[in-house]
Order: sequence, then C-alpha cells, then structure tokens
Amino acid sequence: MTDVPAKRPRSRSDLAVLLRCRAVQLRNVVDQQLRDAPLRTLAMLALLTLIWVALYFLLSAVFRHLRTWDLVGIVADQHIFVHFFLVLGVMLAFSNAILTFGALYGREEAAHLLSTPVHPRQVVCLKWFEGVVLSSWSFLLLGVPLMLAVARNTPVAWYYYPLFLAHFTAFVAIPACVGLLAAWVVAMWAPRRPMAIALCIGLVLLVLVVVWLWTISRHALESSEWLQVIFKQISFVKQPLLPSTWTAKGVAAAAEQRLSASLFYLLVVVGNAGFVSWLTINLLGRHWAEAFSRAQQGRFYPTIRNGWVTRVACAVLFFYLPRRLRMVLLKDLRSFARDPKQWTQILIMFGLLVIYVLNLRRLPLDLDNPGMKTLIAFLNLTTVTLILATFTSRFVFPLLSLESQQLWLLELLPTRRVTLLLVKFLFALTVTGLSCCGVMALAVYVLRLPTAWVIVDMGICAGICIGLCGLAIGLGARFPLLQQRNPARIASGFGGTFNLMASMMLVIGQMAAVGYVSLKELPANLATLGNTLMPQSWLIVGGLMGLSVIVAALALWIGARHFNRLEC
Amino acid sequence: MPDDKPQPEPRSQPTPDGATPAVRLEHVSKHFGATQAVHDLSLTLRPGEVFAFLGPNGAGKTTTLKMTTGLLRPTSGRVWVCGYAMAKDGRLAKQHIAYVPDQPFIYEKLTGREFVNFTRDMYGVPAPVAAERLATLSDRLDMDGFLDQLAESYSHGMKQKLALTAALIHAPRLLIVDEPIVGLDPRTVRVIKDIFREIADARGTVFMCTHTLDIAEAVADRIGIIHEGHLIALGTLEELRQTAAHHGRLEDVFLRLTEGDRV
Repeated sequence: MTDVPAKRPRSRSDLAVLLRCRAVQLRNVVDQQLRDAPLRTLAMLALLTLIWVALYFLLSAVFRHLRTWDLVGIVADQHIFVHFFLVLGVMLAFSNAILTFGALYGREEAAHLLSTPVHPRQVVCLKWFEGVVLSSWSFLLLGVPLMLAVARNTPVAWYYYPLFLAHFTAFVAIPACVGLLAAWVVAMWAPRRPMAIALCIGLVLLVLVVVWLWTISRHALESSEWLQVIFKQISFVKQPLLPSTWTAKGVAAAAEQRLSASLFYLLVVVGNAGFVSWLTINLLGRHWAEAFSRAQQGRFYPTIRNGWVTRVACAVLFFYLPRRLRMVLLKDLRSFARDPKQWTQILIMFGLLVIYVLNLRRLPLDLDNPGMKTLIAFLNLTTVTLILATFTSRFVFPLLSLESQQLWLLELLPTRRVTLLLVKFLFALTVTGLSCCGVMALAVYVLRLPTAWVIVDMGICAGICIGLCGLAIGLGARFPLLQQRNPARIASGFGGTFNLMASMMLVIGQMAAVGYVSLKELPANLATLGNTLMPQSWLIVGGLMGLSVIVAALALWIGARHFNRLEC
Repeated sequence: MPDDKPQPEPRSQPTPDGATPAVRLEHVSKHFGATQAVHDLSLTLRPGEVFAFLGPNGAGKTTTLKMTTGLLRPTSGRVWVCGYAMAKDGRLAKQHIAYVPDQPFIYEKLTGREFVNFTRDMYGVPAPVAAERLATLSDRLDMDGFLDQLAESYSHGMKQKLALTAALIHAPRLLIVDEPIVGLDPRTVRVIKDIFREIADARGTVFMCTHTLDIAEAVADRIGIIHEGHLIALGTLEELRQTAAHHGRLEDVFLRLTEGDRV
C-alpha cells in the first residue's frame, strides 16, 4: 500500500479542498431537506419571512414615530446605528467564540483535521470565513429590515443600498475575529471549564445591563425627556475608536447622501477588518495545534462523591411516588442539574422576568387603575406562558427521544412503560410549574390583585403548565427521533415543530379567552378591581383549566399508545 | 505545560538495519494536571512491522497514539515520525501517516465516496489512483452497498470500514489505529488482518492499540505493554513470554505482566 508517493498538486490549496467539502455538505443538506421534508422547509422559510416582515414594519414604525417626535436629530447623530452595530458586534463575538471553541478545540472534526497534513492557518481561515457567513445571517434577518426601514423614512440615493451592504459585511468580520481570539485565549490559558467561563461572562454582562437599566429607570422614566436622557447616559458607546462607531457613521453618511464620508468610513472599517483578520488567522494558525492540545488536556470533570443535594431535592419534590420511580426521577434530576445548557436558559429567562416583576411598581404605570392592572396581569401571564411553550418544546419534548435510546435499560425495570411516561410528565411539570407559578405568584403579589383575580391568573398558569408538559411529553413519545442524540435537532424535527405549533395554539387560545374574560369584567370594575367575578367568567376559567388537563391527558394517551409499541 | 521552547530537533536515529524509523518516541512523558498518563516512554517502530500496543484501561495507550499523531503535545520528550520531528515538521510527518481513532470521525452529511474523495484531495492523491484504490478496498471490505449513502445512516461497523478506507487512500507509510476491529464482523476482521500484513510487507508500519489480544497475537510482529504510563514489556510474543516467565497464550502473558500476583 505504500507504492505511490502522495504528492499534493500545487494548484489546489487546503482551503479550497475544505471549502469544497463544505459546499458538498451544504448541497446534501438542502437536497435532503427538500426531498424528505419539503413542507417543513417551506414552513420554516415562511416563518422566517414572517419574522422579517414583522421586524421591518416594527423598525419602520419606530423611525416614523421618532420623526413625529421631531427626534430626527437622534437618527442623524447615528445613535440608533451605533447601538445597533455595537449590540450586534457583542452578540456576534460571543456566539462566534462559543461556536469556534467547539469547532477548533473541541469537536471531533478538529482532531480529524489535525491528524492530516492540512495547513493550520487554512483551517483557521475556514473558521473565520464560516464566522463571517454565520454573521451574515444577521444581515439578512436584522440588517435588511433596518436598511429598508431607514430608506422608507429618509430620502436616500441609490448608492445607500450597496454601501449599507458593504459596511455591514466589513463590520461583521471584526466580531468574527474577536470570537476566534476569545476562543483561542480560553483554549490556551483557561481550558478547564470553557462553558463555565462563557456563562460567567454572560451573567456579568447581564447583571451590568440590569444595573444600568435600574439606574436609568430611577432617574428618567417619569420624565418627558426620557429618550434623550437615555441617549445621554449611554453616549459612552459612541467611542471614536470602536468599529461600531465607524460603521454607524458610514451608514448614516450613506443615508444622508454624503458619499465621500461614507466611503471614508468604509475604507477605515475594511482596513481594520482586513488587518485584524490577517493577524487573527496567522496567530491562531501558528498556535492551533498547541491550543488544541492544551484544550484536550484541560478538560476537568469534578469528582461527585454522593450527590446529596439532588437526592434530597428528589425526596422532597417527589415524596408521593414509590421509591423505584423516585430513582428514575433522581436520574433525570441529576442529568438536568449537571447540564447547565438546560437550567441556565430557564434561569436567565425567568430571572429576567423576576427582575421585571420586582420593578413593576417603579415603572411609570398607573397601577391603581383597574384597567391597567388587569392589562399588566394579562401581559405577565401571556409572557410567562409563551416562554414556557418555547421551553417545553426545546427541552421537554426531546426527553422521550433521548430516553428511547436506552429503552432496553428501562425495559428491564419492573415498571410499565406508561408509568415511565407519567414519571417524565411529573418531572417536567414540577420543574416548569415551580418556575412559572413562582414568577406568577410574585407578579400577582406585586400587583396586589384581589383574590378572585389571583385564582384566575394562578389557575390558568397552572393549567397551561399541565397542558404544555402533557403536550411535550405525549407528542415526544408519539414522534420520537430514536437515532438522534442532539436535543436541539430532536426539537427541530417534525414532531418538535408540531409540538411547538400545538403549544403556541394552546397558549394563544387560552390567552384569548382570558383576554375576553378581562374585557367582560372591566365595566364592573371601573372604579376598583373587585374581588368577585361573574359566574360566566368563572365558568370560562374553569373550562380553560379543564381544557388544559384534557389536552394533556389526550396527548399523553396518544403518546403512551405509541410508546408501548416501540421496540428496543 | 507543553515543552514549547524552540529548540533544534536532531534527526531521528536510524534503526539497526539503517532504515529511518517509522516512529521514534524518546523519553516521552505526558501529564494531565496531577495525573501522569505516560511516563518516560521510549519506543522505536521499524518500517515493515505491525506493532501492537496493549495495556489495561487508562494505561496511556491512546495518549501515546495521540502524541504520535501530533494531536497531543508531550509534556517532555520528543516524537519523530518517518524521520520528521512532530514538534517542528508536523505537517511533513502527517503527510506520511493515517490515523483511525476508536470512534472515527466522518462528516455525517457526506456520502462515503465523498468523504474518501475529500481525504484524497487533502493528501493530494491523483484521482485515478485513488479511484483504483477505493474500488479495491470497497470490494474487499464489502462497502459497495452503502458507499453512496449519507454517512449519518451508517452503523459503527460501516463507519469503521469507511474510516479505514479513507485512511488507506493515500497509501500511508505509517497507519495508526485505535481499536481497529471493534464492532466488525469476522469476515471484515480477517480482511483487516490481511491488509495490516500487506502494509508491513510493503515496508509500511502499523501502530495498533487494542484490547483484543487475539488480533495482536495473530498479526503483530512486536508487542508493547504499557501499564500506568510505564512501558513494562516490549518484544516479540516469544520475548514477552520469556519476560513473563510464562509460556501460555498472550492473554495469560498480558495478565501476568499487568496484574502480577493477582492472577
């Protein structure tokens, strides 16, 4: 097998081979999607278009509104562009850092490529390119609506459009490089817990934003010059050395038909993006093998001696279940607690809601007005349940598919499959119920709602929790993806999409009915929000709760039937 | 901390028969924090031999293989592959090696044939030569039925076959394989044994790490046994028997050397 010496033709670089490989993969994915799930692909495109159009109209309305306030000066001062590009840059750098760490220092692909004679610099170049392409999604989704919304409200020249595109493309190369550099720094000097570091940075940023919003709200929310005060307080983001400032100035100049100024800033961004890209690719290419080696040897797995916290939590939360089933739940609880990807998202979402609820009284809202109070309570309930619907679709739905891969193991337990299904349901209900009902309880306490309205809000919230968990577990058992180990892919499959749509319909239907009840009760509560509801309202609320339970039971029944027939 | 100071790398010493060693590890150690995975390992693999690297779980076999392929950098010591220092001329060394890990990586959205073509292009193998090799290997490993399906649909055995085929497409001078026959049917195991032998007969080298003592006994010219990071035995099967003072099967020799009085 060693007869022919392997010689590389000079005409084909490693980068060209890698790019060709990516292109073939992309072609195969598109082919597969169109062949296996054309409807799902169309539905996804339709949903993206819907979001895009909604964003366009929203941005357009914002610009129009600013004009009516005679605040065109703010637009002219590039404030909106500066903030847009700064926030976009931070988000892209963060997401690029996480993706790059996995791609260059963690994934099997990196090990595979590193064992071949590929030039490290060209692999890094590929990752840089992928980062820029990934970032370009933000242009399609956010940049184009912004560009068109500005054009709709400002008389622009023809060159505004290509210049906007050029500015955007040049700009996104910079956060792509920042992400690459951040991932490299972590791999070289802090490889032991990369996700923990990412989470810590994310949490610190979140806390800083919350503290800043708190400060803003303390001083300015009741002022008529609220917007100007906010812009004054955040003027530090217009640092002249920030690339977001250059891009913002360039885009604003293009919108104001100052071609030479726009071209000047474009050259500044292109020059800097080119230099930082060259530097990043060469630096990382030179040290990729060493950084990979350090990242591999730095993996840290703490010794878990007994896991008493989860054991106690399981014993307290599920005291009513037989010991054998509690052991199954303990396994689920430990998997949940030891996977930060799951609980950090619920923590961040509900943490933000708690911060918002605690600040309800500080907002410039007349919470003594019964109408306003009912409206805020309604919006709180809608927000919590919509977040819950996305959470159950992403995290609860894949539970059964993931479990089915170890079905043979569960099959050996002296327990019926349907019992296992119910155990999963109880687990999901406990985690989501505690989170949702906790936030809602805090919200109704802060709003000082009368008992009748507390019962309505808490009852509907609990009912929707039951309905959503039942749907996610039941449909998860009905449409399992047995070969798939990635929960995100399971959630984005046909069953997951169907579950998301069903969950949204349940929430929207229930909230429409709650809205109807609130409107119907309003004339009787014009002076103060009373402690009584009309009998028809109680009937509707009871019906909604019953409907949630029926939906859950039906989904679990359908799921159980299919789950019972599954073969190991 | 890896030994990253730039220092001149002397050429790898030739083997007693004057040939450039396929692999030369010189006083190689590897630490993972406080854990010492490999301790002062010196080893030379000659062209034309099948070398089996044995050891209990966590003994340092895979770590040694990864240092040989350049995936991990030794904490101390030097690694040469086909005469090239891995720390300095890694790309030149990798041009001559192929590595098949125990869980082979294959792009799931490529077909088997596309993956082989990708590997072909990475190593710069002329297309007609690669096509001929692929046809031969596909026939021998019985891969015709799935070569044009997406790799995501492959079983573990199919992935193993494909990874081995891709590894052999550039006719490497050194084939490094980690657990080569796990999940494979008896016929394929037989073919793989034959392929290993053919590589050695053509003056190539196979560096194999395995727990399957039968394959080591059947095809290995020399065997190394590593235990808790230390190379405790090295030689032909007969030499190992003498070291262990036991004239039984390799399994008994292995257990006696690694377990001592516990057996």
